[in-house]
Amino acid sequence: MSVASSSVNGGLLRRLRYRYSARLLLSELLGKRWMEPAIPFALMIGLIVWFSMVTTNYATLGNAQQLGREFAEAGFVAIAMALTVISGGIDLSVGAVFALANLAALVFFQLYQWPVGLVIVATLAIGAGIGAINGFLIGYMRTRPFLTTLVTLIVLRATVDLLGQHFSIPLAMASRTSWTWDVLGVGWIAKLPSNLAILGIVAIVGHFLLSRSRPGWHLTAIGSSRKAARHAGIRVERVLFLTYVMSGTLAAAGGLFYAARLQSSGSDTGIGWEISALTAVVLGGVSLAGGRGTVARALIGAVIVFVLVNGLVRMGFPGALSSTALGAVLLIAVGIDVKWAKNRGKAIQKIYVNPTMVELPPSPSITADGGTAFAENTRLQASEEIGLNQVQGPEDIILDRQDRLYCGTREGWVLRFSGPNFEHREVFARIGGRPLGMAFDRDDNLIVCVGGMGLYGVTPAGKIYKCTDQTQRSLLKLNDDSRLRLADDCDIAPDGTVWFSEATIRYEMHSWFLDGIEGRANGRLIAWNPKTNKTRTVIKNAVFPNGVCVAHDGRSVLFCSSWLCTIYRHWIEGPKAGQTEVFAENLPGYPDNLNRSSDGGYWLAMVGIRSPTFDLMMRHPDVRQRMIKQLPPDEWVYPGINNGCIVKFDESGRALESMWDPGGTKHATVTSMREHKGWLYIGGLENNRIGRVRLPDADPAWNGCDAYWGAKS
Amino acid sequence: MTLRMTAVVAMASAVLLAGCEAGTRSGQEAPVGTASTAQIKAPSLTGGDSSANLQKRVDQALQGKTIAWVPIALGIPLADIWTQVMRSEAEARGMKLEVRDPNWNTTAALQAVSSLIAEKPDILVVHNPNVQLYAQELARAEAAGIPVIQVNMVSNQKTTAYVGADWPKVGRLLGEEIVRSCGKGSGSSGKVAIVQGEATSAVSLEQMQAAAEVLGKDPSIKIVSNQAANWDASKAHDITATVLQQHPDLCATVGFWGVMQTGAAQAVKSAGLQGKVKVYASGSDGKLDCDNIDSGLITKFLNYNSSSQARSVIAIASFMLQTGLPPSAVRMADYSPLQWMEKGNYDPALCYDTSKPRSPAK
Amino acid sequence: MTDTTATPDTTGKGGGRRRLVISQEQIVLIVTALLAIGFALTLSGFATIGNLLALTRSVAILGILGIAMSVVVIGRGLDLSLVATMAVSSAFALQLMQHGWGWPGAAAAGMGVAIAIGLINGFIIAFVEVPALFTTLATGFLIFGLGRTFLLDGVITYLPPQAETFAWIGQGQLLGIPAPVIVLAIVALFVQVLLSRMTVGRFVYAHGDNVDAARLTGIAVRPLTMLEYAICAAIGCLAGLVMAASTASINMQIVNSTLIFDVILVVVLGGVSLVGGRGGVLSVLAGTALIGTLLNGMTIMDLDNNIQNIVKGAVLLAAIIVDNRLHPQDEETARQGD
Repeated sequence: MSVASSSVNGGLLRRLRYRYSARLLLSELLGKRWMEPAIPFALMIGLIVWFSMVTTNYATLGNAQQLGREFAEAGFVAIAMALTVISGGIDLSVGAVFALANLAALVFFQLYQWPVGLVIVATLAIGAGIGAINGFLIGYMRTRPFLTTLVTLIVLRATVDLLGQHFSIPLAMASRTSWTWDVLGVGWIAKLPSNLAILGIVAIVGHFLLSRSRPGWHLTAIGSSRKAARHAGIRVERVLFLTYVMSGTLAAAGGLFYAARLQSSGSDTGIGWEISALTAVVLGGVSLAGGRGTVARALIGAVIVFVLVNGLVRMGFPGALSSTALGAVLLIAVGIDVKWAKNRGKAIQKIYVNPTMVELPPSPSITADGGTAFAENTRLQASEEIGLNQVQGPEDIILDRQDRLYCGTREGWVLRFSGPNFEHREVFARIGGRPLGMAFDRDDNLIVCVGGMGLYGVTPAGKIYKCTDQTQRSLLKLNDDSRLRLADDCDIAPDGTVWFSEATIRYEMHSWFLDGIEGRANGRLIAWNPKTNKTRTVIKNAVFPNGVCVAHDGRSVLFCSSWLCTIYRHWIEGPKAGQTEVFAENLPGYPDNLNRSSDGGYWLAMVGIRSPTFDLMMRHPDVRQRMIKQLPPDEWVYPGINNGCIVKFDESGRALESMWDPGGTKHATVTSMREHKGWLYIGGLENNRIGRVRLPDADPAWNGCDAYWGAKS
Repeated sequence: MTLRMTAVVAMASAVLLAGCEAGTRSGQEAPVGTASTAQIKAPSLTGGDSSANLQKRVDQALQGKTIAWVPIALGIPLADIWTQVMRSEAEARGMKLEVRDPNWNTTAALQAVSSLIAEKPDILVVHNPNVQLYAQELARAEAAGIPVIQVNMVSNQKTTAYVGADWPKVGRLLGEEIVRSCGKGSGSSGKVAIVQGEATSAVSLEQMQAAAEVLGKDPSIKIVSNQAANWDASKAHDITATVLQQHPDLCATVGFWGVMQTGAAQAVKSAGLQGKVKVYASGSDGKLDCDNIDSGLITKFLNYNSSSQARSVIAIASFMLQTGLPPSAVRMADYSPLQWMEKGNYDPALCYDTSKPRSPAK
Repeated sequence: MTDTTATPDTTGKGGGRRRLVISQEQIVLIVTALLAIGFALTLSGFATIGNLLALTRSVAILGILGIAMSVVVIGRGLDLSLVATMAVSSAFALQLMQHGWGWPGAAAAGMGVAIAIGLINGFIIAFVEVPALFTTLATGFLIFGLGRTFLLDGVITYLPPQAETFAWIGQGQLLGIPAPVIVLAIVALFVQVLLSRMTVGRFVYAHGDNVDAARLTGIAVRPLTMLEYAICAAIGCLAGLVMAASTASINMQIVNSTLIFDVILVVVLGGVSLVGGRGGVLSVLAGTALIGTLLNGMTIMDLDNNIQNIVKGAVLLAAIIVDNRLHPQDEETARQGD
């Protein structure tokens, strides 16, 4: 159960409607790579179902086997074509290679009486040889694939006809048979027609080669951008050469099976197959621009073409009309391919943000004379600057035992300020990503949440090591959420377990504020145990969990939920272990980091203050949805992340006092603060400085490291 | 002679035709040749059968039966005449003709045949694109109990019946005609141009072989050009135009299909040699061919009469349905009678105009 | 073709460079001349007026189709449906003649069909932004299938005997010159003037040279694309009419032949590069002359049709490699259909 709904009251149906949004599902679906061939796949299934309904004896095992046998050869040719298209080229000669291989196999087997094994090798070698010619011209001579293979097509066609004249009469009379030859042509492998079974094996191997191996990646890279591939050190010429060799071999394999199955050397064998294969490949969703496609997609397309043509023939359509249908389908498929490739990003963007309902009670007063603990004052305006204009966006800050001040920056660095007045600035570690929340562990290693990377550690000597960058994958989530996208803040329990929050799994560091418009429970609280190196998601479905702080007694973890304006306490020890309860709710602003104070309470940074307008909008997801659809992003209403404050709570969750900078001249957004030896240090996500204010009533010796791990000599 | 029937059952066509005419003798004798066929009986015919009973029995055997027909393509005169005549003849007997048009696409053609086998028509009629392509499917069809009749070109897989021209004979007759008009003692140059169809097609090959054999016997005949125009009139036109430039004294050009040879004839006409260069062709009884003969474009035309071929197909189908013989029990061929046609010297009934179908009364 | 403005100059680019390098069409013309001399010396009957006329006559239709194709290729397009358009539109015209239409009306109707097809092609390419290669590949199927099913009665359509006048453009002569050659000359002159003397022609070059630049300078590129394909289809229809007139019939089977590849061959051979913006009418004529000479010589030698195709393929391959050397393009950023 989500912690999100506990504070929400409203119609159950309405709440459910916004929690389980179909649009959300759709937007995540569209973002998946494997969804690209969804339309062709549906078309394929639809066609098969349709023809099973309208033609007699279609959905029978015998017919399926017969269709499979007839399909297999076209499948080989389609894969051959697909490889070259993925490499950014095209192979128009596949049909002619197919025909030549068919003729060659028949001549070798029937007239030269070669053993079947030799026939197979020789036929495939012919295909590879022609592929090598294409590949040499296209790869090394850099001719254009379309024209080059067009020429090979013409020349091969003529060769086939020429040889056909020689051999067609003796072939028509020859009648050699052999067991292996028959297995190739009309045999069975595990209830599958032999050619289909071998096509299946080739397809699976090809699929893994293309999508999971280095040569496959090289091929795809060349198709995407030849220039980039060359600059990345890929040997473009050789890979292209091999691609065409492979294409020729596959087409020849198709011809070999065709020969074994039909023993026919007709001069129109394979005519127009290049066009069908091209149609198939495009239909299946292999992009003509290159670099996008898989073997599976080519086969889906090939099945569509085959089933369509076969079905129309069965239904007695005039042949000219079946080719018309093929043309129309091709045109529509390419049209959609082009338009989809162009607009997919836009479409996903339009529907990706899915607001849900968040109902907050009226905000407590923050006016100076309002009488609440949140009453506005000017205490932060008295802050001293540290590293003014030397630091970009110190989201979190922390001090070590030597009173040195650390902060993460926009550049992906951890800076360290030292000296009596922190005038000495040095880059402590260059982690990368976006360093956010920090904590020191027992051994004085600095544990850092890095947005976009995960949880990292830096030893006192400045050596960076990875703690964890993934957790277990949620079973029912479409988006793979095992990788950490936006680790936000961490703290460390007495047993050494690092508790950290991941603010959202749907947005990145640069778009985290969109999560605020959405208001959905996209975040989680995660625990990493350094002893076992196990990472465990403790609470999923938290609404933008932000600051994390282990309570003074080490028996519970406090964490903030920014968009719900609530702080929760999650028990990790004692009778309530595993339970989550509200620590403080209905805050006047959006809580960010949370840290201990010297008097046994907690400091909370509020990154922005709520406004009645946005609270109202949060109650009406449809309004936000329309806003996203109809307005440009710079006119959207966002949560107010403009002016913040610092609030102190006691152990029971009661707000005690607050500190403000009303004009926002020094500390507009406050994302963190750290008490250290009588001073309160202040950081801000967008700030150009770190500030500190004197805490007159605080224990001047108290510091975080001692409070967590005890004093060290 | 490679493709001549190897297993033709000795059966007179009179017997065959009797099966579908309203005679009393149909199925009088069990066909001989295979053991299984000897046991076939026609019990309802024995013992004082009346004409009415025969009529009933024929109706029972034919009514509602389906003949499936796979041409290479519709829309050419040859296939259109076959289809039109077969349809009207079949329907007149209460049968249905189901046509699949693969439109020259051999892949689609093969699929059409194999899917038809799944649909189990009562008779399957095919026009082979080549001698091997359908072989396995035809064997499968017969194994499934469907008698198969092949038209115009016989597959390596022999089936119940072949209906079509005897191609070597066509080639021989064409050759002999050329020898007569261009050979020794004709006073002509003896130069002959041959326009083949598709060089790998058995129809073209067999005509070519037989014609070449005859032409080779006369030393005064010189074959100055022998090229394949792939059944295409404009290709035939270009080839012939070039040959005529080289050899304005050409004696004759011969083409293996009338429709294609039209192109060659036009080239002769454009060169102003109409009447001087003789144009020969073989072909079927399309109206175009007759028009070409009338206009003098084609000098002499060897007709294998596709409308009568279509009638034979239906007659054989009717025979198989009435006797109920298993498909493999019969191996027969019906070679089409050939007729020479030349201007002013042919029976106009030999010209079939598909726009004026000759449907029997129903 | 007395217009002596060298065609490459009309591209308005690289003129200085081109003058230093011998252009592709010049190479092709030289090769053609050498070949012709070779044939004349070795083949009896080649170098006669009659044979040369037969030669030009036999490639006239190919030449017309090549010029049609060159209009779209210069605009960086390709029309693989050209042969289908040609066959359907001219067969439609013939069929109307059979039904008693006068030949001018019938020819105009056929032309109308062709132009409509061209406009649809252009629309899909320009507005739906489907690459030309695939658009015309698909519309080729569509035109053939729909035309065959809904417009035409049969695969072969015959010229009715009464259309004697019409038959002249295929069979007639003027001063001993065959009519198809005259049609070719007129088409060549028309397209030459269009491309080199008229604003729209210059726009076609600009379009082929750099689409984005053309758009930025204010050329209405999309309507221009439609116009290019319409012109191409109209000229294609004319070629079909000539073909139909010369054999008194048109066979739809021609769509399934390799004619379209031959057309691309003569276009590319003469130097109309597929990258667009290069070459012109003269290039197509040079390519056509080379192919015509080759085919004629091989026919006189009584070479098999297939061997002729192999030789043609070898010549095209040489042309492609030479084209690559003369116009080295950035193959790293080249895309499908370029």
